[in-house]
Amino acid sequence: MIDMLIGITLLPLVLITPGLAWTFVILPANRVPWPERLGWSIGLSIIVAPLSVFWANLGLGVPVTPWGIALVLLAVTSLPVALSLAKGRLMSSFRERLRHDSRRSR
Amino acid sequence: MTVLRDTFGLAIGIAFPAFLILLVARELGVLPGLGFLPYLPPVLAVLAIPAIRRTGLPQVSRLPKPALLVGAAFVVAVSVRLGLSLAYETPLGYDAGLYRYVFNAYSFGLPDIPESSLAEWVRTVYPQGLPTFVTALAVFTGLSADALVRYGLPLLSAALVVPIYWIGREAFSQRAGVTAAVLYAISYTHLFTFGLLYLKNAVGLLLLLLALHALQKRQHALFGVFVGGIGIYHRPTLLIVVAVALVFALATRQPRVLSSLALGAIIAAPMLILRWDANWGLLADALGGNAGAATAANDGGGTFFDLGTYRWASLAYQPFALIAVVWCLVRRDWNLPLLLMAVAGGIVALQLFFFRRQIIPLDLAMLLKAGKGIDLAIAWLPEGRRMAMVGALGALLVVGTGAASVRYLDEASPLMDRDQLAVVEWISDGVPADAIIVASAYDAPWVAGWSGREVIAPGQFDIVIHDREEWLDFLESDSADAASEFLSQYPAPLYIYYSGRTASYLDVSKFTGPKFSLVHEEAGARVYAFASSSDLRD
Repeated sequence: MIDMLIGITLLPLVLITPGLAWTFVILPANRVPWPERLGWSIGLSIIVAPLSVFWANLGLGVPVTPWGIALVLLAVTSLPVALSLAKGRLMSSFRERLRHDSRRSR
Repeated sequence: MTVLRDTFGLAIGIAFPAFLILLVARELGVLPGLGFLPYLPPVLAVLAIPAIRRTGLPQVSRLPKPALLVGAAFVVAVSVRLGLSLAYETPLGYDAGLYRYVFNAYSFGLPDIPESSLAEWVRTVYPQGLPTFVTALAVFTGLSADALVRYGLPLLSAALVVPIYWIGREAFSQRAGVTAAVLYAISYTHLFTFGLLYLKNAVGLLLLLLALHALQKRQHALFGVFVGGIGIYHRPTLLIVVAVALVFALATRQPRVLSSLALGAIIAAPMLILRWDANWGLLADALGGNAGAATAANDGGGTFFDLGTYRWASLAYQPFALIAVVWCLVRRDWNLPLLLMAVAGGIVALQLFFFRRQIIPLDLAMLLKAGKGIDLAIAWLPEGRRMAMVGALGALLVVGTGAASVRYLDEASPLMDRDQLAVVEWISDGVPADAIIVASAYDAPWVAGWSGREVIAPGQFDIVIHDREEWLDFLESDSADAASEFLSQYPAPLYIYYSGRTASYLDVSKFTGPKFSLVHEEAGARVYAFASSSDLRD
């Protein structure tokens, strides 16, 4: 029973988290309603999880064990978060540059 | 002219409920016969054209709480499916054993994905996506693959109400989306699909709907990822989504859709190329209209119903769907449900690749169009009594659509009972590890899933020596000599499993004489051992 509860608790880490992280890279940040973001997250997780586990095993030799999968999921979830942060930093520096240029031209 | 159109509108407002009353009367057995009913929906749609051409239909008030209605549709869908799934000890559907075999094959190969050591039929029929996903999920959470399928498939199948609502809302209106979601929850076609345990189809449909919704919202990158995802889960759905996207790109002049398809190809191609030999054969067969040639000898119970059955199963919402099709054509509105209907309907009508199973996405498109059609019919109802008539129309539609589903719930049962399955499980301990089991196409998936032995069956699995006619002769024959000659061509040690089910097509009276011995029997299910001439000499 406890094993089952632990299993159910872990399900969102495969079924939602990786896709949710990727939606912040693929979709505009604030313009997508949460129910749709969640729906797309589940769809993306169903794609991202097997793709990453499959290629990590065949390409990099990461074993399909609980820890191996945890490592792959962590990587595949962190990557879009990093990309998203980098994108945000890039965007803010781009906006800063625009503001600076417009001030100079005035 | 306006008067004429108004009259038509009013007539249609009355003709549709009248049609539904006749259908419900037939479904409830009050008026048996009525074989002309399937011919009426196109007539009703044509009659509606003058009213459709009228612009400025009266505004109908919005639904007060759509999320609540979609939630209710989900609860109905999931309750019915979970109820069906948990009512029996053995799983529903023909494919249960095949999925169990595949998931076991992946599980035995751990900690590696056994890509190179899989049986040829697994490589051909099961793309990497689903087995890898289920295996990863089972390993990571500790839940068994059986439990994930048993509880996960009802949730997955019921969850389709949500993207159906989104697509209907985006393409037509909130009311159309809600109506389509409610109809899905009680649709016979989709309940039947669930009962067959079409797991790959279920994931393929979810991704298809999410992809189409992404395309509606012009989220092209997201659409591309979903196309790639569909490619690693369900190839027939991939062909559908690509065809729909190409037509959509042409009709709406959105070249970015082509870039999305390229992204999808980049995602899916490496996995497809890994099994290029198997996929190329399948694609060549599909394009040549010869899909299923590899399984031509398979006369088992996994076949989806035909177009004739579908015409009756979808009759309640057909006129509404057709009227919405006419509405879109008149207005040149190339929305995605219309294109999905055209592509899936074209495949079914022309009997192209996997055409029976394409009835499933066709029905999704029909439900979405029916949502719009019902929206139109409501607008045509006489204004004074609209609320009362909407209630009556809704009740008729629910009874007309749901009656077949209720009958199915009564009739549905697993294709194998617990005792018959126990005999299959006995094989895993009772016969040598290198034994091969011969079974009918009906019994074979169960033997593959639960016996842990290699299986020989008509048109399935890797050992193919005989064609369809030769198998039929063997299954029907009562001659021990003919059976012996047939079986001696397969590698020994050979055993035969027979479930005893009427649908399992195997005359066991032939298994007599020195070469056959009954090694196990329980609840009508039997296991025979076959001794070839060389065995007897030994």
